[in-house]
Amino acid sequence: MSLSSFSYWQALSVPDALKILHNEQQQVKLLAGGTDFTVQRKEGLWQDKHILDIWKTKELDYIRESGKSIQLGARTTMDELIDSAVIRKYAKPLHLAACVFASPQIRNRATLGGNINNASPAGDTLPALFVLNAKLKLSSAKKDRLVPIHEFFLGPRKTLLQPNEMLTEIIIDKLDPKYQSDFYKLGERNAVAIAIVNLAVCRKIDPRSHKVTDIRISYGSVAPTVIRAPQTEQLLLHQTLTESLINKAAERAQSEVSPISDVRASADYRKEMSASLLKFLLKNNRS
Amino acid sequence: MARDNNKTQVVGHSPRKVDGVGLVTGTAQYVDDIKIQGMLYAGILTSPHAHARIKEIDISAAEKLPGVMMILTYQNTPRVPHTTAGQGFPEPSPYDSYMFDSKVRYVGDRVACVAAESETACRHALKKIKVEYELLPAILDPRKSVEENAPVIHDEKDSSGIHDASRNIAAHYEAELGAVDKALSKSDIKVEGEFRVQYAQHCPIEPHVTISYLDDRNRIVIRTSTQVPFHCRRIVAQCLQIPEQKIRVIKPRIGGAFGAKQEILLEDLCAYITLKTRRPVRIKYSRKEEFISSRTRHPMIVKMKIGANKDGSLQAMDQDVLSNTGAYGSHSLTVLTNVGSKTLPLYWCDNIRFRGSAVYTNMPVAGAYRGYGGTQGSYALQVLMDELAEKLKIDVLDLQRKWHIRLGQTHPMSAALGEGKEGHENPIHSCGLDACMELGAEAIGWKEKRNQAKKGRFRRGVGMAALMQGSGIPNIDMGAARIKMNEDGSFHLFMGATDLGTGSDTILAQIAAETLGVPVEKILVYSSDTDMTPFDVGAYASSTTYISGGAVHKAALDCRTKILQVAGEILGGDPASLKVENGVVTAANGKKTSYDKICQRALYSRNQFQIEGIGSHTSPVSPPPFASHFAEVEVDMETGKLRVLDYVAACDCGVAIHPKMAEGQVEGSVANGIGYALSESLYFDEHGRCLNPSFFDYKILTSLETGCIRAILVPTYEPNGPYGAKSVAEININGPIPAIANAVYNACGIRLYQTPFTPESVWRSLKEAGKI
Repeated sequence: MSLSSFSYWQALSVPDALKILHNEQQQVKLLAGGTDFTVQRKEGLWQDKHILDIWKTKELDYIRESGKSIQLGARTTMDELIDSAVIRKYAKPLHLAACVFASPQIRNRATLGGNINNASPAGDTLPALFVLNAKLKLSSAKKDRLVPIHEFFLGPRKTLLQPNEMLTEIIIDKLDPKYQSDFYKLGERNAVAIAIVNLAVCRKIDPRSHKVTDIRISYGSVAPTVIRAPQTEQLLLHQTLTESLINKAAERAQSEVSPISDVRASADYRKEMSASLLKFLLKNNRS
Repeated sequence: MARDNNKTQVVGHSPRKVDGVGLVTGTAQYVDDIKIQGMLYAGILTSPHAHARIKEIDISAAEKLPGVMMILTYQNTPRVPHTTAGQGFPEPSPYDSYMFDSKVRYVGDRVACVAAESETACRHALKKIKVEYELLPAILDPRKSVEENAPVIHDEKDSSGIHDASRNIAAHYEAELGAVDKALSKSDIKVEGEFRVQYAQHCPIEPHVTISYLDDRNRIVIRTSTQVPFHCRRIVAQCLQIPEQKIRVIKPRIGGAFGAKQEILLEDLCAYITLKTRRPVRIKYSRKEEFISSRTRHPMIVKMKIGANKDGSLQAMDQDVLSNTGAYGSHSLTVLTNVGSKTLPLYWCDNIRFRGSAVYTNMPVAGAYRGYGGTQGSYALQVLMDELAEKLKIDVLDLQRKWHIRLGQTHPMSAALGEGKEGHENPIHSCGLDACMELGAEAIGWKEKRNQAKKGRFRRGVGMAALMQGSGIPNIDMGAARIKMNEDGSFHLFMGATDLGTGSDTILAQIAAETLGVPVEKILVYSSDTDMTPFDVGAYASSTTYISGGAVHKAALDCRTKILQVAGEILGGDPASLKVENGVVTAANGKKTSYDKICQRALYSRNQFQIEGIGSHTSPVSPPPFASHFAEVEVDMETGKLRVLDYVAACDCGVAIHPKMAEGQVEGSVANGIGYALSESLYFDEHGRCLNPSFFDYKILTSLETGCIRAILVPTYEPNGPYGAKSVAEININGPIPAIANAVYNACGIRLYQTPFTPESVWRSLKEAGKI
């Protein structure tokens, strides 16, 4: 570990934390579960930053249901997501993503806010949040603002979070029982694996016409940020999910992703898997 | 052949490990658990280039930093050609390594070493060393090493033992029985393939770490995480050019090794700094250094052919090996020859050829790694046996059963090809392979599963492999032990044998206890200290139970004879007629005396002497353990992802001295092997830099990932081993690759010729074969 000197604050409340952010601005790195931070700091990142620990801001640890949405405190852990009946019932892709997130030990510490702020293109919860139309509440000492999640990410590790802001809440749509939804993670091994491709899908099909009335598709690990696949969605909307249409959609999806090659997989393979996994999830009626 | 084990009181039972409680309660001390007053912290500056000459090295800025005590480079250290391989002397590995050199040969090679008052000061100083390199063209592909005009990696004049330095060939070996080419051309059926295995690291949870200090008589004490304390003493003495008597090597508790610590990687630096500064010094590898700068498995390309007749008789086997030894030739020759010598003698065949070269590249250095060539060779041989059975349209089990070596037979290839040279006659005195195949096949459900219909997205299949290894290196490996009796009837067992977490302290204590007729708690084990214990070559070549165990057995017999002499004096009977049970000696006339009284008499009253025994052991043969492995896999035809659903490893290791730990060795090897088969791999960029030197992207499998592993111990009795024991530590790492590859073929009809079987590589094979 680094031995450079730095200040460490522990905030016990959101106003406390925002005050410190307001005063210190540029130099502060937020720390919650620490599952990304400690690894990254060991590798040399954040060395010049002071640390603001928000793990003890228990007021950000909640899952609330109201009307058509669910509010999640940014400090909610993966383990809490897994255990939540509300998430299981109304936000299945998020439940599934949390289930395959890293390992049991990490799920006890890793927070939803942390996974979002880490802004990895492979962040496991992100495709789920994308299809759940998540909105992020970014708070500062002066004001709060709401940002749709697809606008939040600017690139790998880059977001539009300002230095005086912190993510306090995530608001997602409830999926009514008429939705079928799913999440699939393809990794080299199951535990503690960075995804080769992540895919979340939710869709609603009119029981009488069998036509798709709503569809949302989101990919992780195949572009600089997590993405939705709007053209593919468009192709499927108001149509019946026939085999040939699904094949066409899979082909379209390939043109919407722009993966790179790395130690986990080649760009080619990621592209092929983007299509293949989509076919699988669209044909799969397991939800 | 199995003997009645009910007669043994300690052997064949599974007592608590002698070091178990200390290990789990944290009182047992590993190397880095002690801190010595005034200790310096040393760290290594490594090369960022695959191949370069050091034009200039400027340590002036680093030297001036507060707390920096010493900086070593090639300019201020002795230049002694040696090998880092901890092998018997003279070592079969080339002398091509130096403490430091003016040339760097891979990314991760030593450039300089700093010793400072703190880790921080050391790290700062390492950053301040300025090095100017003259870059040289690098060889990253072993197939290019021998090309004309290839850069010469070992162009230094003072290396020795290199097969052909000008062509980058570290080692080469050929052996042939009969006339292979002719037999191949006449064979009815031929199967062949080119099999490739990748770079992998041992990943001991405790990395390499060494602490050295001067004792009160100015001798260097080296407390180090090693498999080979005695070879370590010899090689450090060589590097520092001081006599062995100036050095004491102590091996404390060790957190795993798997071959990586059969190397002298840090001890020379640590001891040299202690010698020069007279200060205690600690040096240890970070996980990143462990991946890049320590040792790896030899990646290989094994080309193999088998010719057979329609009746299934094997006509010819031809193995052609290209081994990548990396920048230095550690274990290059011996791992190479073991590809053949640990696999080819498994089957009867008149025409067998082994040819192989180990070549230098500007890549990480390969060394000893559990399996030691057997892993690479078994892949080729066992996949081809599966292919051959398919061509013959018979069950591979029937093919295996018909042609494998049996009890009483002597395979000519064992004599033609040994470890780095000609081998030895190795008659088989115990072989449980048929039973292994029968029990393993039954456990996995071979018949039903092998022939079940394969369709749909997730396809399941089963595959198998038959295996052999050895028990120690014949006529080379030597172990010794000494047993001293105490007045309370307990015994000190001193031995050079090296417990790495393997449990050998317990197993050897069991052998001593059994022989002496006492419970294992009466044996106090002290091992692996070059000042205090007799010699042992160390923990490698699956030799400890067999060779060191033989030494302990002899020492215990020697001690027992002396005990009975004294008992005879007390009881007034012929020592030969006395019976021992649980520390009590009974004469024919029913009179009894106990061990404490015997020792008290010898120490304090009559004919006084220290009751003790000593024993040394070597073996002219290396009895192979045998095993048969069965894997059931599921292939996702969409993604190529493989799941190992079930794995059965049936192993004949002779008599298991401690069955629970023997099962642990089987399970551990299989888990290790499945990781190598599926995901463990070091990846490199076009400059030879490792892309994944951390557990983040180097995927060892978690317990959930390995699936269900079932070990079946198949008892036989090996007359050459202590209480019938053979080895168990390595053989079982050789099964997973071929068993899984064969299961994949059974599941979906594709042959896998390159490890690791990642989702992407399986998917590509499926695609190339037109299966998707």
